[in-house]
Amino acid sequence: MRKGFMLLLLVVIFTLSACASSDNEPNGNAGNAQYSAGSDNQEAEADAGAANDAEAQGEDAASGGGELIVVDQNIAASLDPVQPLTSSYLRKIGAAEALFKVNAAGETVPELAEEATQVDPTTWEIRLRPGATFWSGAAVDADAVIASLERSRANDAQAQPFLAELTLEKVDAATLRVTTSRAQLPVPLNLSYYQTVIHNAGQAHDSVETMDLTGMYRVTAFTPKQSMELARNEHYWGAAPAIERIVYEEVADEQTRVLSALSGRSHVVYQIPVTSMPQFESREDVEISAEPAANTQTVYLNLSRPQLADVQVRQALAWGVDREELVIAAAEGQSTPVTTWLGSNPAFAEAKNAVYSAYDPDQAGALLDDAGWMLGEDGIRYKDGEPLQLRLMTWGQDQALGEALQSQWGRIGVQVEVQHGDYSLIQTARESGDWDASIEAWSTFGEELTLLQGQYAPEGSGNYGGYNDEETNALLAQLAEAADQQSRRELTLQINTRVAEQAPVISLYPRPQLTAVSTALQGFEPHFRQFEHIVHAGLTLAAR
Amino acid sequence: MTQSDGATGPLAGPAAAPRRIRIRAGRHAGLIGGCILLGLLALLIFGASFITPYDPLEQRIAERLQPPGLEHPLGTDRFGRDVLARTLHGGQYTLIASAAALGGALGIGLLIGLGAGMMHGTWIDALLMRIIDVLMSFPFMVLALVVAALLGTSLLHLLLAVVAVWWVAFARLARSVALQARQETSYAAARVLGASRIALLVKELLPRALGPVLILATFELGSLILSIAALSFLGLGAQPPAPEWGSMLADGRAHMLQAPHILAGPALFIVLTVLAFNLIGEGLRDRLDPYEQPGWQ
Repeated sequence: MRKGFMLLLLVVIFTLSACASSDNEPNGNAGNAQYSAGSDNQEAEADAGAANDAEAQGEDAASGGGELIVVDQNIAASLDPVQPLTSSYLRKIGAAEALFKVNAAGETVPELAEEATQVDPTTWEIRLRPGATFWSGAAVDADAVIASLERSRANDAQAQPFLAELTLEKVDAATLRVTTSRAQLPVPLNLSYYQTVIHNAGQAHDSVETMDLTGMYRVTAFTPKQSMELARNEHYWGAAPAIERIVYEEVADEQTRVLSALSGRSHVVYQIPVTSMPQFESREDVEISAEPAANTQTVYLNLSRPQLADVQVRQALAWGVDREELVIAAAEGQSTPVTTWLGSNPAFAEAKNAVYSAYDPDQAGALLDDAGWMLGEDGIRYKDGEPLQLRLMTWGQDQALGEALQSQWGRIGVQVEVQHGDYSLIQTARESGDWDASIEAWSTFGEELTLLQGQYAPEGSGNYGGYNDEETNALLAQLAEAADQQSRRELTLQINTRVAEQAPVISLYPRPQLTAVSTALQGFEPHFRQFEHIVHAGLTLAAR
Repeated sequence: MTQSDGATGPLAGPAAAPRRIRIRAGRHAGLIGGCILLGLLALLIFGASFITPYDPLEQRIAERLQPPGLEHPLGTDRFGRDVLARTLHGGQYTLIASAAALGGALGIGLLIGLGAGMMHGTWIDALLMRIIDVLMSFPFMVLALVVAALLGTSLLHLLLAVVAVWWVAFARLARSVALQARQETSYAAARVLGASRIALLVKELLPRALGPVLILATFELGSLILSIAALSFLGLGAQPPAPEWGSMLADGRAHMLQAPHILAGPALFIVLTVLAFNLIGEGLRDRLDPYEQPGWQ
């Protein structure tokens, strides 16, 4: 009797739920948004196409409304955009916006700005989008934008590389003047990073009630490092999103994330491990978006080690890497080889396979012979009785990559010990100087000089190995002075080639970036910076 | 209740003797079975080079993730390495590492336990017992993590962490044996006759402690194998490309649904090895248990 009653109750609950779901009306308000970029007087189309698609799909009875569930490895620990990484999560989920953004083609296009014009080599004028408001209704005017960027500059160390060289002043309520401390700084690109999202600096940003951003979704509930709930911002300045609500959840364990995608519980699952690819192959209800990130998996070498101070040894290591094999063994085929550091940046596609055009263990062996490292009977190379060996430190999901490199370098007579552990072990080893090689994947997208100086200038924060090459330094100095875009590009490629030849680092392949996307979700855009591009107005949900 | 119903109890009369003998024989069968199983495993593990021609470290990417077949009886892993070869060679790592850790813990435990028992009532005994109390309350996994953070991850460092904690059980048992031995006439006679402390330790206490401690060691070896495999699974033990069972399970986990055969070898060998040691331990305990000796009433 009791069982029968419970069954009846369940049937009633399910029926009511189904009725409630069918109440979601399609949203046909997604309007056109056409932006113009003033940079170099060129007109640029923003990604309004997606919004137009949304409009078209919004008229479909199956789309509109509903709840989008997004699962990520990490979500925000706070709501304040100036806290580390918080603005990244807020932007990814559609709550925060910057003045500009980078589209999937790698172009910088306006977001909260309407246009940007370069007045002279060190001055830009940015016109703000009319009608843009914060969630509170306050206008996004020049005062608000300056206050927001100054707050980021003062409180967010990660914003420094993008704001430190800028001076902001108000021209009128809708126009900013940005003066740069050096010529030819691409201000729109600097102001497209998530560290520069525009927030109402007059608000506290310590709770859902007090935070005030501009995005198409506003946060309605938040549990740090667990979940964030968002609802459509009904007063959004741009194309109204079709989906009504979003639930953004943190699931740290990768297998649990995979199961969340496979079970159909979530619509978008970010950071799927490459080894789980086969589990999705036969599925029709979920697809994998495998857009390589603009991050190059790179082996950093400690040039203060005697064996690695020799450029021939480093070049031998670069020739002795079978990148095709690495992509299969360590990335499950979800990437493509690159032999120079900038190769993962879509804007420098020609750099992809420069210098080390193919796997050549013979060339590697000849270089090591020339350097005096002779092959011993045990298959290891020796010089003055010392074996050629190095310790390769890996962390995160790079253990397989380390093992594959260990095997490949073993073939040319280099004895490699792989040490896999927490990233703090690598940091500690670097601080003490007691390391030979480690694997990292830094972003290769951004302003060329900043990127290359960070990696290859003697004082660069990412120059872990102590690379200090006169020719590279001279080229960097020329790049800093270069006035026109063409010469900057040529110098960038020259530096990239020079570094590859000197091999203080060994570039392998762009880091795979897998996102599981339910086929019920329409309009998902693969992006090389997927970590800040998931939600946009063009997303729609089909009825399950 | 009839007389025969109570035949299995300790107070069973002579009429029940035949059944009791059968039961004891069954227990010995466990010991014998455990020894045979361990012998077979040891034969496979230490004869790995004769059983499989493959190098457990050699990568053949073209043969990756092959299912079990004639060429590769347990298939291949993500690098195309033969899983059978890795499982058998990995057994050498696991067994030798476990035996080494056990030997270290046993030696330290016996020395400290017997020493503390000899000096019962002194501050040294009190101090050693408090150290043991602290170590018993300290989570072993946390200690292993601390060691890994301080010294780096390697099998040697893992063994250090294991030995640092595992001696405690042996020390406690050895101390209790020593306390009991101190009450016996032979110990008192040796002291009266002027035997040195080392002589008392070696000749009077050690022989008495060895039996029970070795039985405990047999059980502990099973636990040790599981713990070392568990810590290697977490990446704290053997480092790549060493084919240790725990690290092989960790490697195979990523391909669990696509290629479950990668997990089968190490998982099966862990189970069988631990089972063998447990059977031997239980058999030895039954064999040496004074309550189970013939004639005990």
